[in-house]
Amino acid sequence: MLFLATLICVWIILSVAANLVVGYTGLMSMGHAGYLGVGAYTAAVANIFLGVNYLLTIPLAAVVTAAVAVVTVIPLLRLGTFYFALATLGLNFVLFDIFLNVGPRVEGTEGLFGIVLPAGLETTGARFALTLLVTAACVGIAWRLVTAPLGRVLRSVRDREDALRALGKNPRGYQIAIWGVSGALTGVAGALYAVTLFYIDPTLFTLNTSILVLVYIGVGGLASIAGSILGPLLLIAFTESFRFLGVHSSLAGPIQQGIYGLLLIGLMIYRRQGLIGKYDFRE
Amino acid sequence: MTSASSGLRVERLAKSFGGVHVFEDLSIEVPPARVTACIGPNGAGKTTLINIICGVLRADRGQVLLDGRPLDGIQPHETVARGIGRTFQDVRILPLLTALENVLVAIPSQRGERLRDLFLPWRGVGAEEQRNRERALALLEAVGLAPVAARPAGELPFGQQKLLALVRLVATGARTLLLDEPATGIEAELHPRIVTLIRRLVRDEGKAVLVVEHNMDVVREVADHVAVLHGTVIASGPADTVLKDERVIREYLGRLYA
Repeated sequence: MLFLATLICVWIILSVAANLVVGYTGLMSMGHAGYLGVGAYTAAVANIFLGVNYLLTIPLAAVVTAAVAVVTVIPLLRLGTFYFALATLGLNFVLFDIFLNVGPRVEGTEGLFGIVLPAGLETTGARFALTLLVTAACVGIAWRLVTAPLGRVLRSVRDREDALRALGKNPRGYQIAIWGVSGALTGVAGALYAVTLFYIDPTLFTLNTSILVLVYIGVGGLASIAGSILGPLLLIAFTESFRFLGVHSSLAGPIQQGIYGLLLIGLMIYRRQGLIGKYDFRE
Repeated sequence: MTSASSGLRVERLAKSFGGVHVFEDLSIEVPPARVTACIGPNGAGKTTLINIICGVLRADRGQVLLDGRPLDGIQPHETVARGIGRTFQDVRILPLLTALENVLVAIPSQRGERLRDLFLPWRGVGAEEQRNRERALALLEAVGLAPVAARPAGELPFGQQKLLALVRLVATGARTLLLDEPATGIEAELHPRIVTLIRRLVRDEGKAVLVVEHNMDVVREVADHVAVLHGTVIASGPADTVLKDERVIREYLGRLYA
């Protein structure tokens, strides 16, 4: 149960990070799983091969992922919405390819394990406490950003770039900055993900994961920090609850998928802004 | 106050799209403390002129000078820093932001918009925002928009949106204002508010204003100087003189505005 709660925290950080760019700034990312991988691999490699204290790998993952995010997004910002989304998808493929072919692995497996934890973090409870703390900090940072004057500018970038430009503000600078912040938070999520699972491999960071994040923020609500918390919380709870219903596993899987899909379709038809979102792409 | 080099000057501008000449050899002056109106038929290039001044379009020939210095290669987001601001025919307010937020977002160089200042308590982000809010509200109040300050701008009637766009432009602090049809398409009851605001900006703050407008009643009330555009400037001078000019009225205004 604590393991599950820790995982939910990781997904909350990732959802908040994605919502900053997708919901608040209107930059449709379909590649955040790639950045999650950058964070996870950075933390794992630094700890396993370079002996860096795990706690220090969290900020390290943030910095490295932010840098990768900024460098990779700059060439894409000239693209229109759809093409931008498609390009971030391409980015996810490229990063996956790098993890698969260049990423270090433990002999005989596809992935990487062996993170050494500092004293005090050996128990699941302690790791949950750390993750919860970091999640609270990440949510706090995101909250500060979107409620500050900066949040207003981000929403202007999303709604009408040319109007913002006419008011003397360059949308590009803000897009790059928020993409960097989103990258940093995603990197933190990656570092926590690696230690929560204790094993990472490239298949964790595919398009599937990127889309899952979009589902979480879509359901919770775009342009809403609370929605980014509610989305993963509800959907993971929904998924996991099936394990306790006593339905035979051969039935539970398909039923769950079906209900999940129908709920998503219903939500998009009747409540496109998500459960507590403040934005939908029609406007 | 007005010297030969102060304010905005457009010199011998030419622009064509494909084979279509919009204008040729266009020169116009927009000095401080004066409302210069630019009138002319559709397609005369009035909006094109604003777009060239603001760096949205490039001229084929000629140049734009601000206080005697050319504005070559300027990008749209850099014009405000140089003191030039514009409005759009189709207003382009930010529909999901409130009216107040629309004005707030126009205030230049706010610390609360910079990542590096946001998390440093001693940078006074909150106090600055408080001051900006009061200022923005005062600006809205001056044009009677205070009661709708908290409403999403997209829900306001078109006329109020145009007024809001004007207030937003004032909030940028630009000294030279380019107004693209500020009164066209809005209820006549709002015309006096727009005229009063523009006149006050010119009288009290010495702004240089270029107005492109179809509504001749508004032009008569607001303009000090009128330039008639039709391929080039075909008549120019004090508003009373130009608007009474038989030739202008017969050939250009008559058939358009009679």
